[in-house]
Amino acid sequence: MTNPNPSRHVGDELPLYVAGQLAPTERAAIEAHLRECAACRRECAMWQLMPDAFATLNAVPKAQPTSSAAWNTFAARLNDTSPSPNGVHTMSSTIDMPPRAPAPSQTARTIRPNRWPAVAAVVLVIALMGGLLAFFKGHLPPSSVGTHPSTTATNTPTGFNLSGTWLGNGASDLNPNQQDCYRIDLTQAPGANTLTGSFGAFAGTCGTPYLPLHGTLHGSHLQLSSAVPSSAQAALTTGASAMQPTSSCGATTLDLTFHPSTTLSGTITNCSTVAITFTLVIGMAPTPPVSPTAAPSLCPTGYSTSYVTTIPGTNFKATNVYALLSLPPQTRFAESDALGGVRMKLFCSVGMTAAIQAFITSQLTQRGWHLKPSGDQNPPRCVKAANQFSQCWQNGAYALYLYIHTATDWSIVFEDPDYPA
Amino acid sequence: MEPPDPALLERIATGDQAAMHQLYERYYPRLQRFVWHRLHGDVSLVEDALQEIFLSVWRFAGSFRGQASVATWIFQIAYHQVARSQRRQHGWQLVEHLHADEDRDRDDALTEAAVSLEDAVIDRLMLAQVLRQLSEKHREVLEFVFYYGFAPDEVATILGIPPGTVKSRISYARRALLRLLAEASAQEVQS
Repeated sequence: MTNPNPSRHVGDELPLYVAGQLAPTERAAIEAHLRECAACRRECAMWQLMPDAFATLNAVPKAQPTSSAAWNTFAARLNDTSPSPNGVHTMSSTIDMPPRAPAPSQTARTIRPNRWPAVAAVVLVIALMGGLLAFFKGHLPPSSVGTHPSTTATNTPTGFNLSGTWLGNGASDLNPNQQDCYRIDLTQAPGANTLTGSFGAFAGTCGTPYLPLHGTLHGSHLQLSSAVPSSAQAALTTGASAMQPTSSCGATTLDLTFHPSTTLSGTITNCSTVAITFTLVIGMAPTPPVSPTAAPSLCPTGYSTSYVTTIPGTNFKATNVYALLSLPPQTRFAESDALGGVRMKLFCSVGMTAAIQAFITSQLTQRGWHLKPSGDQNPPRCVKAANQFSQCWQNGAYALYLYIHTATDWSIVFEDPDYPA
Repeated sequence: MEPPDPALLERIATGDQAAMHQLYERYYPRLQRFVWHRLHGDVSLVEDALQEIFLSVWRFAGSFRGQASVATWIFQIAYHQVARSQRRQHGWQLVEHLHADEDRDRDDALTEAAVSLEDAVIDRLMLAQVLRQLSEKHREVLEFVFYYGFAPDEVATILGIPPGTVKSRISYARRALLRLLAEASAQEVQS
């Protein structure tokens, strides 16, 4: 029976009802309403057509390669690229992923601060890349380290602090029945190139880091040194296994891997993009820092293979304001100029989105640019209206549109000051 | 029996090309459809994008933690790859286009109250036609839910937006869609 005046339509819930995405109680309520309401039943029928409508929209011409044909081309590329177990890039020869280690020994399960007397030297070398590198040099604000809920950093006028806590997920390296916590706290002395802090590994609840660390910046690298007993070191490495990231896509995660070869390595990832890869070597003699050479590997095709440090194609007769801007470390470039003198430069950089934003903001500010207030219609005009990812910057008679979607997908757009020639 | 996706990923992480081949065959048709119309059938761009997506799967299989389904993870990679390819294809014009479209849909939504499908004769083709007129942001949430079968939370993971935003986009999409359907139906009656 149909009630001509049903009390409340269920329109907004209908799509998810038809898609089978509602809880049983919600379904029951909607079904009761549908029995009474012809209008909602009619709409329901429309939603039931949706899969077929999309099948029509998404049809691919038959002439396109089948999966079997495409596989042959793709398989050739596999031989050139190795998978990265645990998401770790093989950027460094020190990351030579060993087979998963045996179950942790009892010794490994009982690491506690009081079992780390200062006996043997342990050196941790962190080979840092890109955004994190810039961060340690004190150029970037806290957000450049990411948004891991348990990782915080501050960049104060007196130096920066990095405090990170990383939890194992499920079976622990140190105790198979609970999570591990690894924690690093570092503080940069004001105006100095040294850092002090501490590191701790805990089976179960996180505690106060207990292993004193002393860090020195060597150009682009941070070298950390400390002292722990060889027995503790052995325990730590015997319990080697992969750790799991603790946050989902959209947040930054730190993924540590402990190896029997006493190497800790990891990546900071943002969704599927590996942004920063680093290596910590425990129990080995200090090695001279090596300049980072790895490239962000997930740039789309079409970007330059070499890095650019300034915006290509900006040696204009009228002005050098665009040419003077420095780009973030390890930035690749693709040209996408449009007709009518609109210059669009696409970039793909290593690091986190926030690090790119911070770097460019700092550059623009230092070079005399300022953010154009929204709604300011006075010349110079920005080529585009700003949206949630973009900003309009002005420097005298010149403007630029800055669009930063992700670290690997950002661009600068402006009008060619020499156009028309 | 075919091995489940997570088992294949585990093997892929160890460099097992046979497992990669199986996953490739399993996902290629879906991803080809996903990429094809988003890149407007640009054959070389579609091919490049598909290769990049599967290369990412190959490279980063070891980083899959099972927090989402494998399909969600792969579509997340695909979604980001398509965005990059689109920006290569269209540059900034696309960005403006998307935002303008979304605003238009929102405007449509405001005047939805009186729309009724009572007289509409809706078939698959008309619906497809109307879906084309929807903004990309609104069409894609419907596509993920109704065509690829993802739950709203999974769509949120793929798009990197809060689950509430997915639901509000579905709501906006629905209202814009009803309005467009009513208009299309009225035109059909007139002609």
